[in-house]
Amino acid sequence: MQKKESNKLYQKLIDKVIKVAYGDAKIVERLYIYFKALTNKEVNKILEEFKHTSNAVHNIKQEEAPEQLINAVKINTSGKRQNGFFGSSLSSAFFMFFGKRAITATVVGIALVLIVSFLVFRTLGPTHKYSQAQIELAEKQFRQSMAIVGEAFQNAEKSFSDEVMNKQVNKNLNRGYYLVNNILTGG
Amino acid sequence: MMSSAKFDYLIKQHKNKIFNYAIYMMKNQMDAEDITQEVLIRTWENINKFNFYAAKGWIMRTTHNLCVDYLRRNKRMNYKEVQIDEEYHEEITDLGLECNPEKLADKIITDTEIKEAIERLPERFKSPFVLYELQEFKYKEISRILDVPLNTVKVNILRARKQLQKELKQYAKERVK
Repeated sequence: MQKKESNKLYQKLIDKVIKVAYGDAKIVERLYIYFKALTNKEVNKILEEFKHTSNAVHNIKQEEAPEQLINAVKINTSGKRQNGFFGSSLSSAFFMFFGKRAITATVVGIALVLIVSFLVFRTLGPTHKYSQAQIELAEKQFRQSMAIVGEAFQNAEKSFSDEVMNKQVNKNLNRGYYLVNNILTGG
Repeated sequence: MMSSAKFDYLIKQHKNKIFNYAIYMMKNQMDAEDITQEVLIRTWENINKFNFYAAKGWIMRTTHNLCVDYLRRNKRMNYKEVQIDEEYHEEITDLGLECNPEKLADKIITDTEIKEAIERLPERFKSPFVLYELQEFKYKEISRILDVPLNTVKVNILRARKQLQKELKQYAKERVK
């Protein structure tokens, strides 16, 4: 009974060793087996053996399917096939790119995000809707500011005619006329 | 037009997988070629019936079924598969210990020897083993292709590894002699 139990445990250990050797064991199992292999010579031997086989299996090169076979298939199906624009090398490139689910999903995802974000930003963009009261206020303020500017121009004109023209220009002109008259009349 | 492009793409992607799987199952190139051709023609005939992204699984399932049909038809199916029980495990484990691994490691196992050893595996071990180790399918995919439970796939792959080890040790032993 005890022997059977220990044999079962040993089988489980061997199974783990095989999984580790073939590289599909979990990290915990891997650490456990590597530790076991360090302390137990037999486990180490079995691990090395299976690793050796595993490497050999994984290094087997795949055989190429004969080209004439593929050509024969293409000829067999050519009657039903149409090779238009999309049946050219462009289509091959298309399927090379979109032939994988992950790539297609990524491209579709990006396109969806772009479309959704475009629509969202378009509707949330700046809107210029003012109320009637705001428009009236703005008009009133515009008129006031125009009145202030007009008044400033009027003041400037008045001071120009009073101060500059009368005092500075007209006075000197009168004095000039007076002198010319005196000279002409000989006074 | 799209169908042609799809088909060309699928041929490019899977022709070698189909051919290699058929070789391991049929054990000869002629039958493997016949199977490959048949699978590709069936793929073309059903191109619009299966999901393009699940084509890999569909193609391999078709390949496997055709191989099984061929073997049955040619009466080559070996029904005397190794009995799997506790003794079987013991036998393999014992063999693992009795052979000198240092000597074994010194021997270079050739591709041909390994291929022959794989070919000699019982069909129920060989199919999952080839799909998993050589064609890099996942357990789930293999389960779908072979239409067997996931755990059966795992167990059969493990048994295939043990059986293969046993076969290769036999080679090594013969060489030492």
